[in-house]
Amino acid sequence: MDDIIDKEELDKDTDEPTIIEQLFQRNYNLLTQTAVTLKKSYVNKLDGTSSLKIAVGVADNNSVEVFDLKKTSLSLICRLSGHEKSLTEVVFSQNDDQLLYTTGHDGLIKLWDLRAGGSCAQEYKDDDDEQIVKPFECVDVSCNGRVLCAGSQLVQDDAYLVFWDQRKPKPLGGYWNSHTDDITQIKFHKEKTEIITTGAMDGLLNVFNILEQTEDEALTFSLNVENSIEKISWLDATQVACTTQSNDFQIWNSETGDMIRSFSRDKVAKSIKRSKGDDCYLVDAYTSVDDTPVLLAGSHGENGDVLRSVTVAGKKLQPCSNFTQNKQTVRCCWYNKERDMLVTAGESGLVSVWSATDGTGPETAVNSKITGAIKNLRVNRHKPY
Amino acid sequence: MSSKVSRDTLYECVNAVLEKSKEKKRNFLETVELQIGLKNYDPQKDKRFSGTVKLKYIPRPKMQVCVLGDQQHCDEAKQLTVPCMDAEALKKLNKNKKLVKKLAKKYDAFLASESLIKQIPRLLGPGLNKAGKFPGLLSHQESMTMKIDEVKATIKFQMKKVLCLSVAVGHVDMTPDELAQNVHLSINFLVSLLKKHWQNVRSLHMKSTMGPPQRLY
Repeated sequence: MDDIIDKEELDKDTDEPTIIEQLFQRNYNLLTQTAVTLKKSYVNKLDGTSSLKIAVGVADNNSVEVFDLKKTSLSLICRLSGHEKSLTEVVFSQNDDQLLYTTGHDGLIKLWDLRAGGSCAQEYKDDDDEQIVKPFECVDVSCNGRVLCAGSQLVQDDAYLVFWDQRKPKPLGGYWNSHTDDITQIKFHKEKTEIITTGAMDGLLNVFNILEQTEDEALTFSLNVENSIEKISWLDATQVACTTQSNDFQIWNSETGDMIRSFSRDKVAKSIKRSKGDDCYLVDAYTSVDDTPVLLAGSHGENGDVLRSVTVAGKKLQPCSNFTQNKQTVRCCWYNKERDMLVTAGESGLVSVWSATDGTGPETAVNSKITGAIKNLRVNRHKPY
Repeated sequence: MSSKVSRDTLYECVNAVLEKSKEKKRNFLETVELQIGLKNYDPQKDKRFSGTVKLKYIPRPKMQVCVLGDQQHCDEAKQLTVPCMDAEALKKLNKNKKLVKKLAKKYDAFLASESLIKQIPRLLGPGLNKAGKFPGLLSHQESMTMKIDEVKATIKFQMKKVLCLSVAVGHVDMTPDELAQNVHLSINFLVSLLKKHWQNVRSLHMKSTMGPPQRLY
């Protein structure tokens, strides 16, 4: 047996730059970018609305900054602070783009009204037992905006899912038997108000139908991911994608309980054309404008600037986009399907807006105008009178 | 390429751990664990990490695995004298919390056939979830004994809110070679999980349940 060594091998592209350019064909241009603070802060959470309001959670001071994306610039609307401990989730209400929910380790869910200059309109709290604060890791709101659900860390051997009616600060009830470790993600179905998936450090992805009377009956499927869950996202009405804390990627069918696809970290690294699997990290998955599932992944290697996306095509991951202008380790993203626009944020505190060019973007349009003008010039030159 | 833990240091530690436990025999099989100290890592804002890895030698040989099988798997399990239960037996528990809890307590881990694993919440409720023993998938394409050994040999790294973690990598009845190989594999896997790899490792120790710690790094 050999010594345990630090290989110090550097992560690099597995193909020549020209080939990389050919492989990652779908171009996204950096539309605009802004830094949340002058200090180097981490942005861990991000959400947006169809009206292009973008909210980011800043890890260093537990505040939220809300931006308005107008044409090509991000303007700060307000800064929300009030959580005394770590901020863990930022999510917009589904039916009112002026309402924003945040939660954190202080065990509170705060509802902010952006119209009122960013004041806290409501606080939701599970105060069944005054002695125990439940530090929340995640929160989500149902598609009709009525029901809130938050997931807690493991507190005295129980990890809680707590539900609220959006209009009342007191909880409706909760589940605490289905996970055995910190609940890291909650995602309501995008169309059905009663379907919810939850993921936890215990490696289970649970699917619930919350219309049922008891937790026993509500639990429809427990999907064994066998690794702590980092992020969950609904790809369509049935498919749920998840990334794990060891950077693997899986897709499950929430109606049959079948695993549809599973990709290891090494496989993702290969598909984004990087040489070192150990440096590869996953951001999140979303469904792109042409209805294919897309996985966003990057590399810690070199400057940590590599950010690429791949599409899921059957059993394979196909190269899709290369975000060459990226300047940070990306922690979260939000995709707007109508505009084919991606917003990323990460460990250098930058919020970047990427917009598809697809060969017909503003740049090429300008180019064709110029060449058109030159053509006209030439034509005119031949007909001076 | 720089050596982080030399072969000699590794064997020195492994032998020291094994000798110390021989000096004073305990009434149980001591587990050997790897303790890791981290640095340059902020649990508040850095991404959490965790992962499972299959070791070459089983660190917890006494682990009992029960198969929740379809007809074919149950027949196979009976031949191999592996504890097993079929859907009928599970239905008899009738989602009774006490009975499910008892079942969960009896075994260390569960494996279930594809047709059964999806019905577990329907048949048993969240009882196995609560015990942290939701079954792994046992397919017909893989060998049952190999899958069971895989479950027994798999360990999980998981960092909590503090900058250290520990994981069981073996026991004191292992040969020095077996233990050394498990430690080797565990360390390499852990380092792969860390964002800055070795730059995140402050210290590495190994110790048996009752013995003194030995410093690897």
